[in-house]
Amino acid sequence: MADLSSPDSFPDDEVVGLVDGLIDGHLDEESQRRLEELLKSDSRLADYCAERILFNSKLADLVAPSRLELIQNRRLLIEGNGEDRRVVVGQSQMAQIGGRSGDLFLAGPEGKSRPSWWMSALPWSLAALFAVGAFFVWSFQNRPAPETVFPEQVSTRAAGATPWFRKPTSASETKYWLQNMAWHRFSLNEMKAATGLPKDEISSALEKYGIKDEAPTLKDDKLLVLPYPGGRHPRLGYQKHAVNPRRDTKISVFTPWDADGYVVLDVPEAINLDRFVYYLSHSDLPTFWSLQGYQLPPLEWERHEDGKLSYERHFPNGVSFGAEVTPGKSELRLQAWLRNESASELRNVNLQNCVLLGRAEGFSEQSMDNKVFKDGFAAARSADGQRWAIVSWGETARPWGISECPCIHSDPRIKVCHPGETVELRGWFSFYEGADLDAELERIKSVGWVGGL
Amino acid sequence: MSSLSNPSSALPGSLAYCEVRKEKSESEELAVDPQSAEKFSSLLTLVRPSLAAYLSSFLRDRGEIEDCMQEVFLVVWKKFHLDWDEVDFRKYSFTCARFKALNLLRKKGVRSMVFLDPEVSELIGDRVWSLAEQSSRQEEKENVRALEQCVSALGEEQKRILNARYGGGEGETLEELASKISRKLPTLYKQLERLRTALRNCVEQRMKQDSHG
Repeated sequence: MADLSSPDSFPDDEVVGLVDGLIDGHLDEESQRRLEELLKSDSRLADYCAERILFNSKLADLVAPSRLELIQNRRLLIEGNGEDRRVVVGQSQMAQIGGRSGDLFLAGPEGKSRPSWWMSALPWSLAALFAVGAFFVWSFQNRPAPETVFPEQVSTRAAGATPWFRKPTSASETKYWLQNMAWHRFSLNEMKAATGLPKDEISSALEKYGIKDEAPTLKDDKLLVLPYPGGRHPRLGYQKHAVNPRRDTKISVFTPWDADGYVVLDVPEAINLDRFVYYLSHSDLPTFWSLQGYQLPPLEWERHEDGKLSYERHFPNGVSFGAEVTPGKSELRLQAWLRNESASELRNVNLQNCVLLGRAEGFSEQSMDNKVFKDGFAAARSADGQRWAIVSWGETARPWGISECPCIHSDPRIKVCHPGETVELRGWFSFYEGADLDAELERIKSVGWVGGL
Repeated sequence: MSSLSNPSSALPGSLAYCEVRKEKSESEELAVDPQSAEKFSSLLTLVRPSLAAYLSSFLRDRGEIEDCMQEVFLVVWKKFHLDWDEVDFRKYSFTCARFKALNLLRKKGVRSMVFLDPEVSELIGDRVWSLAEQSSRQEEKENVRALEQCVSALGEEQKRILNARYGGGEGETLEELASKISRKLPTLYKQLERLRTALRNCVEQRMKQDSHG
């Protein structure tokens, strides 16, 4: 693209003034004619004009976030049959197709207030959702409707707001999740936020099950890996870009040198196809599904006897993906797959795999200075320079990071997944104690695990 | 592509171009085709950012832009055929968006509105679309992040001007701000123009630094 940004060359002040006048809507007729004349005579001006318009749009998105939050949560729904088929716009994402009304909520366990605009839209929403729900359930292979509602409207920006919670469904699940959260060193408030249980109920359950504030015993000296319980935002910063983080695809890997510290792996945080989001483990961007009014049901990791974790996510159109995590002494062997049983090709699939470092002591620095990206590897160094967290999904994966989170990524790309095809990928996460990172990366490569299958 | 479904078969520049007309056969109407819904949604997702940008050259208020886009997509859905490609979808949406925006402005009785002639407007629409196409989703995200950092580094008065321009009527307007700080409105517009240029340069610089870092 030609460099159009320099005010010294092109465009001159007149052009900038005219284009911005158009954008701001204050051109008089004479200026407008002048702009038209220039646009017709100089092809560069159309490009400049378009660039300026796009930039203006981004700026508007950024400066008016509260308005946008509302807008982003509006969706396009398609309902009805025959002559009555129509697109319903402006529906709230708070209600969910097939959700039980008793499960509809807007804030955490104690959040009872609802914005008045939503209250007024409730009857419409429910009526439309009923029709749309019927349509989707009928049209997308009769998949069961989701059972629990996780309203994406809940903003973590509000002070003390709880992103979401999931109530344990049995006594054994209650025991499991309380133990899980105790190992994460959750406070009672955080346990409440994750489970929706009242604090006194949590306290008595902790006592009943003998769950104490003590470090876990490692099984066969393997890394402790647990499904992430939610209730605490997994990021230290940059949280407004991960509104309502769902626990579905997240696991915690505890550091071998400190039982209180852990990193959170999101496998994956997002699946992007070409230029739209197919799956997102938080809700600040519209996805392929949310735009159609379909909210994906919650998902849990399956916990295996040997410490392995796995899950499968099925989309309504026959596409599915899954992951498996196998812990070793200092590493996790990761596997992910994408199966396409839909009628269309999936092209340029980008799996965004995130490692959130903020809760591991020594790794919480919000900086890029302690991060290394090479050969598909992303590595973060601890503050004392002695330890590393390393992730890779193969040499062709894109390694990157965000200082504010802080996090590192290694994002593999699948060029195409044809109908009927399953693509499998292998990844690696490990902790390393030592100063020679290059040698460690070479060692990991020599294991021959990482990459496509 | 069927000629019936080809949006370019309608005459750009005429309001009939984006009228809601029944073009599908009875049998097509009777079935809700999940494939159509899927394709429509994916095309909509592709077109949405550049369409929003294009509309911002007509409308100043973000809410109005969103409302207008939704009206556009309603119309497009009615006309949509499975054999449309991205270009069909984009052409149709952009032309329709232009008319929807102009209608909205007319209804609002905007006295000082000036409209570019259709040929020029279409040219800008094409360029907005193709520029939006050139950057990947990742680049876009990085770009927005850089912009966010640049905006946060602005001084209070500069932020106040941006808020007045983009705040969507919730805070003070540019006109109100101009009178409060005893400046003429054209001076504020000039300042806004310089701010955009400075921010644009700042984003470019940050992106260059990031790509080298």
